[in-house]
Amino acid sequence: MTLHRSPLLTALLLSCLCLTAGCASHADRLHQFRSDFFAGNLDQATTEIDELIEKSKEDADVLKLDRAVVELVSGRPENAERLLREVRDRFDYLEQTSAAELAASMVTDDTAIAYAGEDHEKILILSLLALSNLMADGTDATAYSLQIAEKQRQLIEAAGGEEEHPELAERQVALGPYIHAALQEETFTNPDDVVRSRTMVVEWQPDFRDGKADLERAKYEAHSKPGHGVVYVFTLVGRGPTKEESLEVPTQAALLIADQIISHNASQSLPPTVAPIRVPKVVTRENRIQEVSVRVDDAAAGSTATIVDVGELARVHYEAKYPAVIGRAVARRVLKKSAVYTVKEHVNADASPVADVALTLAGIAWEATETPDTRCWGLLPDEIQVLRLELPAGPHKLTLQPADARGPFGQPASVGVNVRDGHNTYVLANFPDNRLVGQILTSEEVE
Amino acid sequence: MDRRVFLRDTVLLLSAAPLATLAGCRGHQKAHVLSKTDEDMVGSHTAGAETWKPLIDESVGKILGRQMEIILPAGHVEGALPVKKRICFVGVENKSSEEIGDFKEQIYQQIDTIISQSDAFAPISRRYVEAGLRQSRIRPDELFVPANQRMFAAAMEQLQQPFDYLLFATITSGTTRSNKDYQRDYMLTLELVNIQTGDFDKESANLRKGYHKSAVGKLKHYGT
Repeated sequence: MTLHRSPLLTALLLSCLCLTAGCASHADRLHQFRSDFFAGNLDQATTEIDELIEKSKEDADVLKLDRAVVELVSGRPENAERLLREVRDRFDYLEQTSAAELAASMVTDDTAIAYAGEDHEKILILSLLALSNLMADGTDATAYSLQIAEKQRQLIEAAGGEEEHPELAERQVALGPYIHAALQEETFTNPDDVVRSRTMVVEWQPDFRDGKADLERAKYEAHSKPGHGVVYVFTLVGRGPTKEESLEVPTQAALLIADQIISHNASQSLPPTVAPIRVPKVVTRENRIQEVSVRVDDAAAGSTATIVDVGELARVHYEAKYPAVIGRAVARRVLKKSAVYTVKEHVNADASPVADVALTLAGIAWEATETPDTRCWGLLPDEIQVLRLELPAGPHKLTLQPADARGPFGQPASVGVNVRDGHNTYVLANFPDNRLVGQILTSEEVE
Repeated sequence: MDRRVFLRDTVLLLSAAPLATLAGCRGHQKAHVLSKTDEDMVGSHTAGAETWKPLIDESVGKILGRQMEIILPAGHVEGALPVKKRICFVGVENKSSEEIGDFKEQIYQQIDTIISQSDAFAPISRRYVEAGLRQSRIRPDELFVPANQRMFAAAMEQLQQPFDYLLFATITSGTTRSNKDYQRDYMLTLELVNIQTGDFDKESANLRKGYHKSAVGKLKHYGT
């Protein structure tokens, strides 16, 4: 059979040509609205995200997460909660395996699989749900805080359990038990729950500055002194991790050698692995903000401490899954090479140098079309920090300012909060750089 | 076997393997309403409805039954209802090795509901209990100190919610391990303290659960 008489071969070549046309990756799409968000252009970022949701339906879920962050920092926690809940439910559904999508991903790439979120994103959806709810009416915050721990348990089990991945069990997000402790402390009836949750915080986030002091207080003291209330200042600081393209050179070299061994011994040659194996990689960014200093009524009151290191969390979870990413990339290449080999056998390519070269080139082109799956939640902070303050009941002015090792820098931002006797007040602010983006949210505004 | 055929078959087999191992379909989660006769689901890793419901029914039933006998005066006329004693149910303390999560509030509410249906006792609303503790800044575990108890009682009086008894519920567990399998004994204890006399009454209910990695484990340890 010759090349011009093989419709199968022609179709394969044409499809390869079509596939080689480049597409913008999620990392490229992310760049513009991320820049606008960090520059404080929230309306512009909203428009861009909405346009992207319209244009690329397959990325709509993950883009809604970014939209939720914009809504939250813009002072609309109810909208943020609605979007986060919607994506949480979608990701729960998409966690199940689809054979059709996996088959499609074997002939194309991982972007053919509907995005079900990285593990750290699933945990952070619940974390931001809890924070959003605290800034709204707080009625579901307890449920969300419990779901954070439950989700982590599920993810560790799914990854093979604590024995296989002790690093996942050791670095769990302590925000869930932290919020649970705060809520239970406010009821005055569940001190055992408070101690239990504060203990979890210390175990899961041993570096958390205030963990041990919080635990000691929970063991022996009530929520606050008479006539006082508690203010929890949560801050989202720095620019969070994203996924970018990376070359997996050792695997490519190993596959290339394997190709040569098989080609040498088989009747047909395999397309050599010259197209690089491109995989996504979690990229974290330097964060100058070590803490956010808090002044109450113009007097220094303390500074926030890191309770969730988002960058570290993303890295640990991604490393646990990285062998599976490489495994799928290798399986995909094997499948593609096998397909080309089968066509070569079918057309007797060893007897037709033109067909052999054409099919080899088509195979290389097919492999080169693979795009790494860089879909990710792009507007996450680098860290979530918190400070607990016990203040006399009544109105207060809180002033927040980013700080590094040398002290506060950047622009301070203020908000009025009302502290109720024996109750909690929650404050949330977003400092991706040296100034506030959006507005400071509070659960108890000064009337 | 021809080397070409062998290689072709091997390559095809290798290419099919990843797909074969990844087969599966997505399905939407569904739910159904349980009827009263349906049995509760049994938690595979921790206690759930199958554990807490019978423990609550048994322990509350026992303590209410006995208190009914105690508080009926000697000259009580048959058929006449006694004056209801007011109970301040302080809360449920979890001293077990398990997180009980959202069940804690449910345990509280179930106990509170059963007490409120009794002819002998009238529970005080939890909102008043929380307000009293908040006002006096006393932790529930500090209520056994007489001065704290008086302060709390005064706070409740101020809220126009005086009470006769304090009720505490405690969950405990004991675990017996055999390699990867384990048995956990759950106990719910209710302590009723008369704040006038300091006398207390106590009732407990027990339930045992076996957790197994396989059906063989169940057979090995329990013979069923």
